[in-house]
Amino acid sequence: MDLDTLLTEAAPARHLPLDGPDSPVAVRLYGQITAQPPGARQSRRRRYAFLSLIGVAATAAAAAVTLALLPGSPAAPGHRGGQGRTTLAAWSVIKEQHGLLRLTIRELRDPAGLQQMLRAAGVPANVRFVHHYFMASTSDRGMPKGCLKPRMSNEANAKLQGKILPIHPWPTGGVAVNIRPSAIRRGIGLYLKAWAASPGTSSGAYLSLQIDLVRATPRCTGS
Amino acid sequence: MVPARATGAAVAGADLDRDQAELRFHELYRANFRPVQGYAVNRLGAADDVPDVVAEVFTIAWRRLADVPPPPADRFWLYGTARRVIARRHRSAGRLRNLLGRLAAEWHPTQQPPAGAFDPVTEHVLAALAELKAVDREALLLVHWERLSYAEAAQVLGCSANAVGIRVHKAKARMRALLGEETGGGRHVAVVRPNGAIDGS
Repeated sequence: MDLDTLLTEAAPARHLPLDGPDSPVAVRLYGQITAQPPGARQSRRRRYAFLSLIGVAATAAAAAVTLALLPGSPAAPGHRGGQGRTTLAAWSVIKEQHGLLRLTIRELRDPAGLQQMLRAAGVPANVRFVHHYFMASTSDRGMPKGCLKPRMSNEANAKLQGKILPIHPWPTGGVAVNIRPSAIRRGIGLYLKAWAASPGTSSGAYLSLQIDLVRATPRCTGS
Repeated sequence: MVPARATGAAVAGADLDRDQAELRFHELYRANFRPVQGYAVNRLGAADDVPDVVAEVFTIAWRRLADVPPPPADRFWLYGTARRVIARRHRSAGRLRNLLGRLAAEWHPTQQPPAGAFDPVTEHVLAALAELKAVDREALLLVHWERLSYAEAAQVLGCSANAVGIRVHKAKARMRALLGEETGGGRHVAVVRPNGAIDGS
């Protein structure tokens, strides 16, 4: 068999069934994507913000998790949606199965309340909402006063984050993350920083959430 | 009813209202869902990341619809986007050892056989591919796996068709050396199995 044939035959996609555009997976994804506002031509800065924030901020260093998704404008608090729509809170913490907490942030309001709620649910947390553009960073300078990074390698940090923050849920407006309180070791807390990349735009702001591990101290995380 | 693809050219580059955008995206999605999925499978194997990559590529396309060229170049644009999405995920996984809680395996494109694995010959080819320089490998795979011409692959990679030809040539020469097709006894290639075992050959 010549090299060209060997190469062609080796393509993994030739050996696996692929979903068509009419498959349930594809149809569901299509609905999720088109539920967001369509993309008109954007300024370079705005586009950069989107690309840098969706999924993972490329500049984020080893010890941070950054999530970014479009907020669902119909669900935004303080605004009535269409007929029959309910008004959702600015944020919510819901107990899920398997000891998970689902945190959803839809609007940057009342960070102290969210912090209190998380602490009551067993998550030593420090919560900040930033009302200006912010690029994800794990620099110590980005930490709030009184908070320190835990003493562990970046790899151990990321591994622990993997346990505390398992697969993120698809948000129903806003940005959402699952937290497993039982995986938070003694002496460890979470620093959650949420911000809007471009507030006030007609198609909605990009809500982003960065989570860092910090040392749990009374000053930083309340315990 | 699915509109004709030619309408894409008429709206590309213009400010799109919601109806136009949906019409255009619908065509783009229907025509390219399977190819983009195939691209992701070809680069990631049967990894769990494939649906996420497909979702991210089309989300970006939806957000940047005005930047997507009309067919047939839209597919090359999507491949290029998928390439960057995968690369970014790879970088992130390297830094974070998997962002969202799943520990990422080392990113060895095409080296992760899907469950059920391939025949030994295919595994050798995949392992040899993993030894190529990334830029050469991508050019080779676009031509042989995505069935693109040099000119089309050049649109994905953002280089000249001539550069693609050179990369493909270099990649093939290296593959021949690795597989021993011409020398009859090239360098042996280790096959990494999903369980981490390494088979020499």
